[in-house]
Amino acid sequence: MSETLKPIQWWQIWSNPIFRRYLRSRLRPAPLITWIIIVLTFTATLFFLFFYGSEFRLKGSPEAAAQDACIPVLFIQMLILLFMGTGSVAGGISREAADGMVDYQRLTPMTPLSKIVGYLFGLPVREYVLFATTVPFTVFCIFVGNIPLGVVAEVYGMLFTSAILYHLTGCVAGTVVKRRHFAGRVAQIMVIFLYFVLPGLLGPLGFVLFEYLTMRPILTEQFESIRGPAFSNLPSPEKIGGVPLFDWKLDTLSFSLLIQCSLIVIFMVILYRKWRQPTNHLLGKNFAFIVQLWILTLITGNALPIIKNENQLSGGRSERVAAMLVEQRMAEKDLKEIEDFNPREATNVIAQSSILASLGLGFLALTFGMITIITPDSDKFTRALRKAQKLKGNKNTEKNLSTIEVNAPHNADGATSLWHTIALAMLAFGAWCILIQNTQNLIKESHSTIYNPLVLSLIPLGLVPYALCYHAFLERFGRRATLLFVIFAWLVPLLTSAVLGVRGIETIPTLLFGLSALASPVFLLLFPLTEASDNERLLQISGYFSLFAHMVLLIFLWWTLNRHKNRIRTQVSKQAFNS
Amino acid sequence: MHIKTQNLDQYAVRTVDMRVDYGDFVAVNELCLNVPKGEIYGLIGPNGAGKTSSFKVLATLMEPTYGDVFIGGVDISLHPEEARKHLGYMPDLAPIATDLKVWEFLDLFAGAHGLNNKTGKLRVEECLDKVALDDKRNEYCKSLSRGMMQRLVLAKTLLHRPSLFLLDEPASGMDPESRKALRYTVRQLANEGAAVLLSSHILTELEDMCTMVGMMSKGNLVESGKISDVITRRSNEEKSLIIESLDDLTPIANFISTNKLVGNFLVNQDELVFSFNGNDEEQVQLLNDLVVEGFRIKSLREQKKNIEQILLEMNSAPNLEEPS
Repeated sequence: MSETLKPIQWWQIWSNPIFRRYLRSRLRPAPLITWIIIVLTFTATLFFLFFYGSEFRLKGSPEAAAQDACIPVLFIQMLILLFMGTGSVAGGISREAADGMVDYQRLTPMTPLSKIVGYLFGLPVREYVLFATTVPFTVFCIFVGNIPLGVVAEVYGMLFTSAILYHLTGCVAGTVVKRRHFAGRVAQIMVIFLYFVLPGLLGPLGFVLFEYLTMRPILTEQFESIRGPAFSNLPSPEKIGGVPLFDWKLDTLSFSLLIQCSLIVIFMVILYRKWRQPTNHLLGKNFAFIVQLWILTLITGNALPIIKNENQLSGGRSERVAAMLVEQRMAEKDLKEIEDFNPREATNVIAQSSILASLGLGFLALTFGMITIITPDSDKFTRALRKAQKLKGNKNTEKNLSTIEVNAPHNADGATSLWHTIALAMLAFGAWCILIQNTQNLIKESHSTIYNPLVLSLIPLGLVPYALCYHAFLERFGRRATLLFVIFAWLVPLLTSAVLGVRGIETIPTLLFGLSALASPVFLLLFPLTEASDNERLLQISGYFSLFAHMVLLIFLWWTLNRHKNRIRTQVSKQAFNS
Repeated sequence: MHIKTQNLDQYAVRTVDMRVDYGDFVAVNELCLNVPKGEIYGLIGPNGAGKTSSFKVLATLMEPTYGDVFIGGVDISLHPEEARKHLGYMPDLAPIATDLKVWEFLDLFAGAHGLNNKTGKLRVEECLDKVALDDKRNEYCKSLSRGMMQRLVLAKTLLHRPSLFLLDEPASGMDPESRKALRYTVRQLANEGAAVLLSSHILTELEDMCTMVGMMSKGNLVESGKISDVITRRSNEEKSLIIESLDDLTPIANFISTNKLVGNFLVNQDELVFSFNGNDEEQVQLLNDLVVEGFRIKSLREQKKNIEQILLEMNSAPNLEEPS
């Protein structure tokens, strides 16, 4: 009775039933006309305000006036595509999931990619139409304002890749978040964090790539080409002049496209996996390794030129904080006793160390994130064993019940993530190691009396036990228990230390600070110090204790994890034998 | 890709020791279900019996923790996409897209199932006609009543002509006429060779519609088979007898209560209903004893059990196996 039907392919966008469904529902004449009127009213008002304002008030030429009017039109277009579009996608996909329509779609023979494309371009179709209604204003500005077509292509090319990226963020949030009604909010928060908060927050700490998830770098680059007299009083933004990546310098557009396309691919993979099976991990184990490698390469490539070059630190936040610390220490006459003390050099060391520590923490957080994504719970582990057993084809006999043979393939979602965790941790270790080895002020020969070179080259290894501990805890006890562990074992000591520190207590906060894995990038950087102050010595002691304690914990966790898994294996074998 | 199939000709659905765990809670325990093609199989049980979890696994929306599930002979944990081609699923409280018109909703799924424009349109009309919604084709889904929505989702399920229908509470919210139409449609599907697995809490209706029945309780399938076989099997275990007399029924009740084969009894207005755990010979002996005792017995008859009574008895029985 079942028919052999041919589902449409992902590139057949006009025939895509999901896309067509939204063409119908989101482009119904009455609401569409209302929206078009609203958008045209605002766009026209802004356009004419700037155009006539520039031409008549500022006595600019029509060409300059058109250039001035171009920017507000672009602002409206960004608002439509990036904000309204993302809201439509996140809200739409979460509504589909809440209504149960996603389950219906899951059962249809359309390929996961066709479904993703259908939702990605279908849900924000009204916003694309609204964008199209503003295009005549842009065309006028381009021709009258003589704006170079190259600039237009760069800006609008980036607008579209940003739109797709933002919409995919909405899709991912709507698909992944279990509490569907929060999905829209989560998407908005994700967009604000990923594209607005993080670039400003993490950029100065060496995570330059976040900056290129936004349109800001391209707009900064091209601002001069598209501004007329209305914007002439605004200070010229400093030209970025290329993005440093290891020893190369990539132009802003290429780097922005590289970063955005990478994230688009990652989001597509997440959605693809989730459409195939809702219980799938966000990323496969091998792909998570590739993603970690890629992100670490980019971050290291961006940070290395900053860390290598003392001049690049000048004027930065890290440098200002470091200078304050040095001044404070000098006032306490702590460092004056050290011979040849050079405040400028000390400032650089502290600034570079703080960037190194923040990068180390970032690498550790990334590793924890990837481990969380790829680590299976007991349920998944059981299912993977069952599947492996089935694929093996031969059910266990009574004879081999005691000897456990079946294992899921290493890359399966349900397989242990221990080996991948080790690989991820080693990647983080490698990246941090490269940065430390290239930090000029730490590796100068003249500093061999202050820094133990051997310890200096080994300290990044300190990240590995924490990553392994996190993995073992997660795989044995699940996400909820791990969250509690992270809060009580790692976060509470830091917070208590901060509170006690503010009260003026010195010894206990330092010791508490050193216990937390989250502070490991800081105390690991202090390990190679041969001439440490009292506080630094205390931090070294608590750091060594923390490492030792986590290693003991790791041994215990591995033991209990192994027992737990053997129990499941036996249960699965018994079940297979019984059936 | 060649996909290995099992018993392809015989069963539309086959589960072997299927188990579904939610953490430590066992929702479905070692479910063995065999639904041949052309049969209408009713899965019944109280809330929390494990019906919806079983349906979700069969619909490939959830993986079983243990056990094997074959849809049209295809192992769903190995080839879920292939298995999906065989099935049409209508969930409990079936959702619809409220922003679409009735025909648009069906057209969406016709396209999603790979029907081309021309065939899709024809099939949409055909399915609308089957569920008697052709006069509503241009109305918005949100304007439909609950029963109409159920019919619309049924039409969606029929679109790609699957060989297995999984209908979870399909009649909920339907008026009597729609239920009658549903019964007709389901029987027609079975006559065409499709297997229909459905659940419902309206048990008498299931009895009318289904050819086979499975009873679930606390995650276990406690009874399964042809309806007549199930009733016979369950009725043989303990009968319900009814006595009508020209005399007062209370002394009769007191008399029969001394018989060790008699269980619970209830005196209605002019009937005495009691459970009797004996064979036909012992039943004849009981009647003889009553007559010898001098009671003027008008009739002694056996009360036929229906599915609803059997299910109620099963759920009140304390000796059901608890899920481990």
